[in-house]
Parts: sequence; structure tokens; C-alpha cells
Amino acid sequence: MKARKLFALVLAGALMVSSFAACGNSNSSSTASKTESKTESSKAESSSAESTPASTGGEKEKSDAKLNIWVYGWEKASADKIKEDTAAYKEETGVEVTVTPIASDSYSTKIQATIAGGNNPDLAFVDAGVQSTQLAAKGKLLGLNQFGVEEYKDKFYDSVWDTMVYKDDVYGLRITSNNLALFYNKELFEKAGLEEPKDWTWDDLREAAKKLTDPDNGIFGLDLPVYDKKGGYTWNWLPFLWQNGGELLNEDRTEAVFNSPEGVEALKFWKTMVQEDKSVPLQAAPTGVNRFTSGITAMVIDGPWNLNPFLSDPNFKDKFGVAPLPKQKTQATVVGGEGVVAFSNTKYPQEAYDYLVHLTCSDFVHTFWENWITIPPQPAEKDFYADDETYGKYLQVFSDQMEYSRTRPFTPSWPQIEDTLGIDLQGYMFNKTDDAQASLDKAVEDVNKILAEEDK
Amino acid sequence: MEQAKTSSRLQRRWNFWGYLFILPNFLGFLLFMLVPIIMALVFSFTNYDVISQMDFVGINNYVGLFTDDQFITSLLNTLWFAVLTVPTGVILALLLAVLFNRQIRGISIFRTFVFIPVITSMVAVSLVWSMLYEDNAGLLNTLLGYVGLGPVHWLTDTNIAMISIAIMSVWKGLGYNMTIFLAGLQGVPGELYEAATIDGATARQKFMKITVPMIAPTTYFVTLMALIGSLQVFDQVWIMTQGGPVDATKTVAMYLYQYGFQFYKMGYACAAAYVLFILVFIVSLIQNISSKKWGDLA
Repeated sequence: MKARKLFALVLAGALMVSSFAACGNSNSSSTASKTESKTESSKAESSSAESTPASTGGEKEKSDAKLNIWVYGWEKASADKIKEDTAAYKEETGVEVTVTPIASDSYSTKIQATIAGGNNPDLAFVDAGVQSTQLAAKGKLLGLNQFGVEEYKDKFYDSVWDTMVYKDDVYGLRITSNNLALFYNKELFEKAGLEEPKDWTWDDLREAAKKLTDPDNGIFGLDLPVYDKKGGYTWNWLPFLWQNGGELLNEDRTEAVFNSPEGVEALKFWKTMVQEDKSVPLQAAPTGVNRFTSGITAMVIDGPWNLNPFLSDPNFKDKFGVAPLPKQKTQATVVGGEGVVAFSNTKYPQEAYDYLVHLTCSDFVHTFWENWITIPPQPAEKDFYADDETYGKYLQVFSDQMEYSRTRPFTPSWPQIEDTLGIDLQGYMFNKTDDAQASLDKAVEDVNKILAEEDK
Repeated sequence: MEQAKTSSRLQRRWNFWGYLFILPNFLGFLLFMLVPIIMALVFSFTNYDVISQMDFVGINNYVGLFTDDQFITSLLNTLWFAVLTVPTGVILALLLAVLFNRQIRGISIFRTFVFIPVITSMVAVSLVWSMLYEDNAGLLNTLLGYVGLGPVHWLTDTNIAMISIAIMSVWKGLGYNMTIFLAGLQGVPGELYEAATIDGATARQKFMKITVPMIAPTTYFVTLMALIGSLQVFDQVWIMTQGGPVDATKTVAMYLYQYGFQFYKMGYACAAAYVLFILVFIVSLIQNISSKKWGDLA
């Protein structure tokens, strides 16, 4: 009897412990950064303690600030580099930086959750513009004008700088950038007797797509994200709007203005290629990238993040080239990428700013370009990849495009605008009635509704 | 007297152990279900955005929902999905269960085949079906092509996309429902069928007059679970169409996920969640009341 009781008690206890352990886990992964970062910091301390025991004693003038930064943990190399660098940084400045790499699709949700809990890091990498604008509008980010951040303005492309600006302040600096260019399949171009794309206009693009399309063999000239709805439609369509001289929002970003004649033309251009020429595949799956590598499509508009997948495919790596996007009235492409922000509740604003500048404006930033295969956001580094045997010839095209790249007109509710606009544009694409003006008027109305709510 | 006292003390002691055993589960339920459910109700009357101070906005969120075309669309889509999947899913599962409810060699192999989709991850299943449904080179259209039909725009036609997802969902859930039905069928006493056979009943009569009424409680359970599941549909839609084309497959669960975790309008999303909750509650209630009638059949 006793033994049975004891067993029951132990079992119940074990159940309790395991269920608590489970909640502990889910807590730390979803909300509390503290526990994670502490383990990280203890690791960092133990490793740096051995190498620099003397330096801490001798230099008392230095700051004793402690900063915590969240970085993307997509790949180990750059996260390790940052950690390495923090030791040197501490020696130099006394500021102890704890690095927490987060490898997760829900990175931005995690940031949001830690802010809600008040235990957010001092600094964080973010999707530039998308999340930074939202957080800046809520007063969660440290405005950088007070530290004289303007001195670095000339270092960056205007489009890149603008992504981190909200109202009259700057809320971060950029580590990387990227944009959209035209990938094309050399083999299919050769078969269709086409020259490789150079100084193309919309008409050139359209004609080439028609020529490349071969229904008997299931080959399409061009891929457009007609089914993409996670904002992808908007992201890819914007360059076309801009190329045609159109604008999405007015200067103050308070009103949508894309139902202009330029917008109508840009909208029709896609539909003509899809529905009339049938040179764009109407397929939801596989993804556009897979269609391109398997030779179903001859051209796709996409970013430098695809280079690694393309180049790692032994059957495909020599078959493709990259060209600038076509132009119409003007040249344009859309810029994306990552930035670093500091949070307004940091205990050490000055130190946070200094470290932010160190990460983004010193040579250390090269680490990210080397490891992430993205485009330098700084004009002075335009030819950073020029001598790179593997990536050079491709990345240079993207890099050259930076000078006429543009930022999406970020507002605090940008994700919602992007999504709603995408649905409306897609609606026109699949609508039997062909009234582009009416479709854009409705889209403008929808976007204006979202913008109006921002001010409330 | 003495006897009764001891037994009640014993009872109490046993109760203590019982409570202790359910404590872990109950604590989990309290912390991760009940408290969030109540908090969500409170949030649904606020402009909670996860990071800043929230204000009460009365029923604004609910008014906003029902004046939003997108929400109405997603509500109708969700109901349409339920209409497509629940009756077919339940009836097919019942027929399969009857078919497989016999002792022949290798029957468990067939049952296993039907059950395999249930234990496969929804993500994997959705990805595979996306490929089957692919417009030009997908297996289904290729097969249709051989017999001179198609191509059907499975996931890219606004009228067909939801039906395609429903077909896949029925297939995925079939094994689970069938297993429950099998359990129900095996609980029907064999004597009833024997007696009916002696009385000269046909197979059809036996099915309608014995099987269907006898397993009514099982049918009730299966239907209810299928209904609740279908009203909450999310994974397959998210993976296969992301709600597209043009919102044709956007469901309420997807709508509230977007608002809660992508646009960070958590208060609004909570209101959407409560509309969904009320919807599920109402259909469960209707089911519950009508089930009493079903019970009379037995």
C-alpha cells in the first residue's frame, strides 16, 4: 500500500514538473528574452573571461554599460562574428554587448512580444521599414537625431536611408539592402533566338516574353507573382508603377494616389501579359523560383537571396543571368533589406547609439554582406563584390540598380496596406470585367481607409 | 455508522489523489486556455496592439468586422468549406467503416491505408496536394489530359479553389472519422442483425434500421468534431493558397491570424475570434438539441 502511494506521489510530482517545464519552455521561446539572453551572456562571459582578465581591471574610465542585441540567426557565421567582435568592442569601450541570435520565422512577433512584456533587448535587427515604422509610430524606438545621426546620411543611398525615417526622426541604420532585378534563362533565350536583355523597355519585355512562350512544351516567357498574397503582389508591382511615373501614396503618406493614368497603365500591363499574351504561368505551385530553375519560365523578377539556391543547383548554375528591370518612363526598382534599431526604453541610449553606428557604419558591416549575399547599402561600397568570382557578375547588376532604387512608402500599417492592395490588384487580374480604373479606385479607397485609421 | 465514516474518509482520500492527478492538466488548462479565453474577450473590446497602452473602444471592433467586406467574405468562405466537407466527410467515413467492418484477411492493411493521411502532418499533405493540383504539370491535370479533359484550375480558379481544398481535407480526415465509426459499429450487438436476417430483412434495411440508429451517438460525435474542425480551418488554406486567389479561400481563422500577428491589431483579431467562437457555439447547440431526436431513433 505504502509503496503504491509513494509511487503515485512521485508520478503526480513528475507530471507536475514536466508540465511546468513545458510552460517554462514555451515562455522563454515566445515571450521572455531574459532567460535566453542570460544563458547566452553567461556563455559569452565564460569565454571572454579567460581571454581578457586583465583588461577589466585596468581601465576604469570606460563605460560599464551592458547592452543586449537580437540578431538574425539565419546562419551561424555572422552571428559568431558579432559575438567575437563584442569582445574587442568591450576592450575598446568597456561596453559589454550580449548577442542573442534568433533563428525563427516569427522573429518579428517575438520582438513584439518582448516589448509587450517590457523585457525587450536594447537593440535589434529588423526588416527595415516594415517593422521599424510600426514600432517608431508607437514610440518604442530610440530617435537617433538627438545623437547627430545626420552625419551618416551621405554614407547611404537615399532610398535606403528613407526606410528608417518616420515623420521627422531617424529610427535606425541599415546593414544590408537588396532590390528586384530580372533573372533570365540563357538557354531558353538562345533557343528563342533572343539577345540577352539590355536596356529593355516594357515593350521589349513583353515581346521577349511572347517569343519565349512555348505552350506545346509548357514554357512561359515570364513569371509574375500573380497568386502571391503575402504582400508579394504589391512588392513586385510597385517597380512597374514607379517605372511608369506613378506614385503609391502622396508625399505625406496620408493618401493613396495610385489610381492615376500611370497606375492604370501599369496595372493593365501585367494583365495583358497574363491574360492576353498568356506568357505568364497561372500557377500557384510550385513557387516561381522552382518554376524558373526547372525551365518552366524563362524570366523571373526576384532578389539576390535567390542566388545561392540557383548557384547550388549543379544543373542550373551556369544557365542564368541577371539584368536590370525594364524601364518605361524612368528606371526604378524597389529596395528591401535589414536594419538595426535601438529601443526607447534602453538604459544606455548613448552606448546603444554608438554600438549601432559601430555595427552599421564601420567596416564590421562587411561581415553581413559577405555572409548574407546582399547588396551594400552604401554607394561607396558599390563594387564590393566586383572581384568575387562566384557572385560578382550577378550582384553587380543589383548594386548598379541601387542608384535608382526606391523605398516603399512605409506607414505604421504598411503590412496591412500591402496585403489589401495585393488582394485588390489580384482581383482585377482575375476579374472578367476589364475596368482597370474602377479597380484602382476601389483599391485607393481601401488603402485610404487603412490610412485614415492610423490617425485615430 | 462507523462503516460509513471510514468509507467517506477513504472516499475523501481517494478524491485527494484524484485531484492531485488531474492537477497538472487542470493547471495547464487554466493557464493556457481559460485565462487566455477570458483575456481575449476583454481584448475584443479594446484597441490592444500588443505593445502599447490599450483603450476600451466598446463594440467598435465588432461593428468594424461586420462592415468589412473581407471579414464577411471569409465568414462565408468558412461556412462554404463546412458545407463542402462535413456531410461528404461523415457519409464517406461511415460507408468506408461499414465496408471495412468485417473479418477478412488483410483488412487491417486497408484500414491502415485510410488512416495514414490522418497521422501525416497537414503541412506535408498540403504541399503534396499543391503539387497534385498544379495547373500544367500536376498529376491530376496530366491524368485528365490523357482522357481528353481539363485542365482544371484547381487552386487558381476563384470558384474551384475552395472545392479543391475541401476534397483534400475530406481525404485527410477520412481515416479518423472511419476509425471512430468502426468503434461504434463494433459496439452494435450481432444478435440484432441475426434476428433481422431471420425476419428476412435486406442488407439495405439492416443498414437503415439497425446500423444507422444504433450508431447515432457516434455519428453525433463525428459530425460535431468535423463541424468544429471545419469552422477553424487554417493550415491547409495557409499553405496551399494563402487565402487566394482574390480572397476566395480566406477563412475566419486566417483573417484573425493576419490581423493579430501580422498587422498587430490584436483587439480586432480577438473580436473576430469571438465571432468564430459564437458561430461554433451556435452550431454545437443546434447539434446538441437535434441529437436528442437522434437519440430517440435508437
